[in-house]
Amino acid sequence: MTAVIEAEGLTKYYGPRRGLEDVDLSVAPGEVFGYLGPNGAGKTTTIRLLLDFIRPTRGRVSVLGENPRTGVAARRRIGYLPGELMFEGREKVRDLLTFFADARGGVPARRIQDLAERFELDLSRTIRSLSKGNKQKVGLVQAFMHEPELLILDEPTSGLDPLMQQEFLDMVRAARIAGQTVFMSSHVLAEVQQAADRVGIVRAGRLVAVEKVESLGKRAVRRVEVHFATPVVAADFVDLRGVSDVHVEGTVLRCTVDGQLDALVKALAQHTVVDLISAEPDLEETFLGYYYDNEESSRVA
Amino acid sequence: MLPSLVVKTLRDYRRASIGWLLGISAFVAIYAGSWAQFDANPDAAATATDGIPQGVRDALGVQDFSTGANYLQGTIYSIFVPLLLIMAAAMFGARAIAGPEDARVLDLYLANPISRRQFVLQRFVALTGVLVVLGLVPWLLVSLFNASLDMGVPAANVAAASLGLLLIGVCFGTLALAVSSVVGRRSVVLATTGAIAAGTYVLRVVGDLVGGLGFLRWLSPFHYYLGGDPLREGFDVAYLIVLMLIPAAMLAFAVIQFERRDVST
Repeated sequence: MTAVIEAEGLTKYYGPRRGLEDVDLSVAPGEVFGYLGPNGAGKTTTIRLLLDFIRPTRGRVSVLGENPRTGVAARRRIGYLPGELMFEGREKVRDLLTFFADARGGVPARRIQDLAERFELDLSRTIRSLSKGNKQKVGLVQAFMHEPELLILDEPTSGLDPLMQQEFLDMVRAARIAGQTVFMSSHVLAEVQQAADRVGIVRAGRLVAVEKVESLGKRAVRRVEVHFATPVVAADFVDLRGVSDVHVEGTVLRCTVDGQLDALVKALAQHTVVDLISAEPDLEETFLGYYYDNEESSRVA
Repeated sequence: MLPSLVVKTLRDYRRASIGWLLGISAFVAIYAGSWAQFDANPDAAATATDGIPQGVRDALGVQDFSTGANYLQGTIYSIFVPLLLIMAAAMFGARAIAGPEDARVLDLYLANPISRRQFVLQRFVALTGVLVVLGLVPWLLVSLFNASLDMGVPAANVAAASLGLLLIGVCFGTLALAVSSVVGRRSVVLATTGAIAAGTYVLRVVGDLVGGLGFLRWLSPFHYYLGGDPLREGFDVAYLIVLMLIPAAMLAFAVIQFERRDVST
């Protein structure tokens, strides 16, 4: 099958400033693709190129088989959520959604109503009176309402409370089951891990890795901090599998664990543990660990 | 049925349109309605504008108020109502592209199956629609007072001047649209449009008043509006056609330019 999104050498400069450089990317139909990177890495630039808001300096991109520049009709089959969602004017939520529906050739009113109920969104309010989270819901409803073949979502969960984030992830899963393709950017690894099949990691304008999400998860790097009842020595922990950066100060151990926690937990059991803090896998570290490890292994090979 | 973006744009413009409608109506009604006091008192009519220096009167196209045509020209058609209409047109024109771009909402609109060309064209249709409604006000009210107060201006001449007035509004509204097809900043669009409106007005005045610089007036849209003296002479078809060609050319420019450029965030 032909790719839904295909980019070759996609490059964008804003004057002398680099936005994106030489990105090759292919997203297959029905795939949920997480586009991960720190702020300013080029995620939004990529998305705005896909939708023809900006034009590439070099390279080629096709979306749903069309050049975004000329494939205006294809946008009927795309749902888009901007990263920095803004609205203007005093219009009611219902009026704005009706405009989007009409512009895309019609959406049943029932469908809009259902989505609004799902997100607990009041369609009769004016948009300017909504909180940031509720505005984000308007953005999600308009992106999903015409059941597009391709969803392009830029930081979709920003501003949503945890319950609504869960609701959103359910919608992405449902979209995937329905065969829709999802391209979503994020700087939160956990959210991408829950929803995506593959993850592309973008850093300083370059796509540095594209991996299946399972392989990223296994490699998750955690920072672990353990408080003991009595002082411990670093030597007990430095040789453990997956454990590095071991620092001991009296009764406190700080280290980094790559992959499974099992070896560390078994070693900890020899002592009286007062407290154990394991921070979420650090996104940047996971990326970089992956990136540099891959570079090394390819050099060896 | 109207295209979706035209409908939305008209809805967005509704509040401000009503404001301008009321303002222009009040202005035209008060001035046109005051004709009775000059009609009844020819001495006052002959000297009403003496307090204004001759140079300013010439610049503004104001003569004495001894005839209905002179009066309408001086109070309504020469400067004040065109100014109001141009301000309204520039603000609506600036809201077509630069407004949403400034507000960072343009991406959301352009993600729909509406091409850049369609976007500009539908915005233009909505803008012109609003201006037609605003432009009907002076025509209807002046026609009403012209008849009821015996101002003695042929109805066709009122129509000619009012059509020119509307087209001047469309000219500068389309100019604002054309500027925002290049720069998506509302403040820049308003400043540029205002400067060009003032500049071309002055161009006509200088062209009329300064010997040897007469050619300058041909560069000013205002010349094609009042240069044919519509209140006394009626329709000048050639001039009115020029007033339609100017916005047509700027619309074409806006489409081509907006198709080419990046939308800013």
